[in-house]
Amino acid sequence: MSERLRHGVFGLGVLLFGALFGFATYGLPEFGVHPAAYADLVNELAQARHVANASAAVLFDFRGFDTLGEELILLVCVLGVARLFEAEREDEDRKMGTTSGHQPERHSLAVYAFGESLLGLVLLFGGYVMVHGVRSAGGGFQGGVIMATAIITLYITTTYGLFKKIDREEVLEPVEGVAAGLYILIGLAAWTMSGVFLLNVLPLGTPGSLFGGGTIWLLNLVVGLKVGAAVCVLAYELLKETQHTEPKR
Amino acid sequence: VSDGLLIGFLFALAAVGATAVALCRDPRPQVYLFSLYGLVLVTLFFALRAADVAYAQLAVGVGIQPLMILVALSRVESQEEHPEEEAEP
Repeated sequence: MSERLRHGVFGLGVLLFGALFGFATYGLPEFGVHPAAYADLVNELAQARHVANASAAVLFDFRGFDTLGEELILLVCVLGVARLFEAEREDEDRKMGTTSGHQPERHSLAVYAFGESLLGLVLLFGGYVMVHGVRSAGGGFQGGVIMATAIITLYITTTYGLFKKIDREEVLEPVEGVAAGLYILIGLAAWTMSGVFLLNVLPLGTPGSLFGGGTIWLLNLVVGLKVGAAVCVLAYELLKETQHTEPKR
Repeated sequence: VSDGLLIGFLFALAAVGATAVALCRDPRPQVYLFSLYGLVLVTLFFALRAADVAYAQLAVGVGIQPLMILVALSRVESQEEHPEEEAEP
């Protein structure tokens, strides 16, 4: 494809996108103005569920079923990635006749010290964000991902041995699977109690407490565990991949 | 008034950042720039009082996503250096 043709296609795309974008956004309410009926609805819902964080009320109550779908999508994606890498690695091991993995180069002591002190902080902060989901910003998803980034810190800063000790199949994947199953079980338990799947049946608790909102805090925690484990598996597999493919020096 | 000023500034910064990321042609610096641009978005979301979204962006956009690209890059680079070792069937 010649340069001129490429630029032509690009220009056409920009024009088309601009026209459609203008058409789609024309007549929207002004930025920052508040006429939205849905916003009022969500605020009422959060109050009715004794939850300070309206997003948590939407995620785990109002749209709890959607969250289940999202959770399962993540589960399938991560399992797919893990299996794909595993199969490829086994294939390469057979071809080369050796087990993979060479020691990464050592960093300076300062990097180790900084990273190891960071590790606890990251875990603590992730856990904090996770359990405070019902009363302030954050929640299971965000906290889970933050906790999972600890594995990156571990990889960068400690010796590779500790990183290798993490057992994906015996620790991370069971946590992920069990947490995903728990979400469905909570939904089914609500179903047997009330006849509606995922209905918020637990006592709502005092507003502003960590364990408020009936099933909301429970589902929030379950999603946090699930997402944390899933992103851990993802990061772990990706980082192992760099170990594997780095050329031997 | 100052609220709107801050948000306007952050929006402008986001526009400049996105353009810079798109114009950067070298993949590795581009990843770092992308991560930095993610931080701009975090501040913007926070200024718009969407703290939940800011958290998610912080963890995914600044942490996990650049990691994935970096890993993919390192794999591509090692393939370019040692084509005979990594030749795909």
